[in-house]
Amino acid sequence: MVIISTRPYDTSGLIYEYPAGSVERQVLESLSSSEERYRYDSLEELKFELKMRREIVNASIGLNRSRLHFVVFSESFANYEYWDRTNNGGFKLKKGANPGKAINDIYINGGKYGTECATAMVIVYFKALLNIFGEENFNKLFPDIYLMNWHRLDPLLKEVGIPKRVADILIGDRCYFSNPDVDPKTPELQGENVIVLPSKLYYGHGFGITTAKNIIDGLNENRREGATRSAYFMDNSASRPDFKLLYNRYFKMQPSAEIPALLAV
Amino acid sequence: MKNLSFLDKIMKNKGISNLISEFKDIYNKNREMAVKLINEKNISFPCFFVLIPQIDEYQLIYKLKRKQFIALCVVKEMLIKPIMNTTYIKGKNKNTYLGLRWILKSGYKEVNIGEDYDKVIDLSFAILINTYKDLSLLPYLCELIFKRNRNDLNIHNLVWAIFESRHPYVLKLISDYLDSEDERDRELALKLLNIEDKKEISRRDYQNWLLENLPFLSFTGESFQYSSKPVFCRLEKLETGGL
Repeated sequence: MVIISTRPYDTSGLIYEYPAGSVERQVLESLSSSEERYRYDSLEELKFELKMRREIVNASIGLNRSRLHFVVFSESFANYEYWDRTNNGGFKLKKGANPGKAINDIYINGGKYGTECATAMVIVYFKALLNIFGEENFNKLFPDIYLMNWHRLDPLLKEVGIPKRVADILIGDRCYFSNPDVDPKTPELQGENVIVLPSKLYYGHGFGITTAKNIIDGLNENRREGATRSAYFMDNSASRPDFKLLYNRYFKMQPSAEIPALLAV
Repeated sequence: MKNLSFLDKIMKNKGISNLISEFKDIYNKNREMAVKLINEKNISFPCFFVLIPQIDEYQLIYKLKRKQFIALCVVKEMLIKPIMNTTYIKGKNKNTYLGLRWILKSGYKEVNIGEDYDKVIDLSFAILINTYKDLSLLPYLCELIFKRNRNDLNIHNLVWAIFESRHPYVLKLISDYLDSEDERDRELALKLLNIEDKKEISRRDYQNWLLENLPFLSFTGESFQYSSKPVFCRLEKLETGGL
């Protein structure tokens, strides 16, 4: 159920503003049919979340196409025109580099980058925000970017690092496949961070865009000898950006008259 | 210094690049002497590790004594990609166990050799603790986690390995750092013990609480790969007294 300004909101009109099969429409259908109460201060805030979830999906598909390599932290690498590699395997935006162009470069020159699954998720969020805010505002919001799994998250994105119990898994959520009996030789396969996509597909860096079964099978191939527990999808937890906080920042950065147009389909 | 091997003394006094060049000189003048030095009983793993390219170049592998031979095979298996088709680090093997013990006991304190070296140390801890169940290494592992953290190096796989042991002793070891004079140690200890909101807690307070609540603790399997604030262990029942 969707609640806007303390009152239940009938989504039937809004749903038809989005094309059939679109991310926004699918998310809206999930929200309205759930027993959970999803609360928003305004219709624009709800539309912002729908748009951001769409951009998270698009950013995932784009990163999957980018030829970004999967490597462990000790072997990570980046395009040094934009990023400095830190001792812990993370990437810090080079002094003077343009944050928006640096994020876009990962998508354009993915072959020049290699990292593991959690950092890939953080890249997806930055790209989604870049697409929503535009380069100028994005650069104001994120003048210093540090890409290092969930370890050094920007305060505006700290919620994406903290999975919480959820009533529904929604398209655009960050979820996790756990591999409890992982082989100690391959600790990087202790689990897989994924973005939930439409059609019961997931994007996980290293696995690509695929089904839950393929991810579980891949993780199971890297279990210790004598393992008894299968890898599994953690279906009761997800992490989500603080959509309300991001919307409020977005709202403040727009000339007020333009907001409805910017959020239009 | 007294117990250091000849090659370790060079590394300690003159650094890694001088060790490599002097080893090359020794080899060029007297191959048997080079073999003897690399096989010294008290040579450390860090010293041995930095000479691996020369051991390869001079084809000394079959001149190595068992400990050094096993360590070399283990290192090569750990650094190849993919790591799945392995022999020495597959399953359990007494010789591998002894080789891994040497790697860690003589090499865990070193943090400045490079990322390949760190990877070997990370995997050695993970295998010995979680495959061989050698819990005697937990204090060394804990010490290394805090040392790496002070040097701003990656600790995620080490933290995963220590909590995979699922032994409450780990919590005691970590809590020893609550009284550290180094702010970075205290911050990390609070984070690993999931008590970041209790910044004033002392080692003694925590350990008293731990003792009372030990039977109710369970490890969750969460890690830094999953969350920025993993809950490594939680109480299964109501705790006895507050922290």
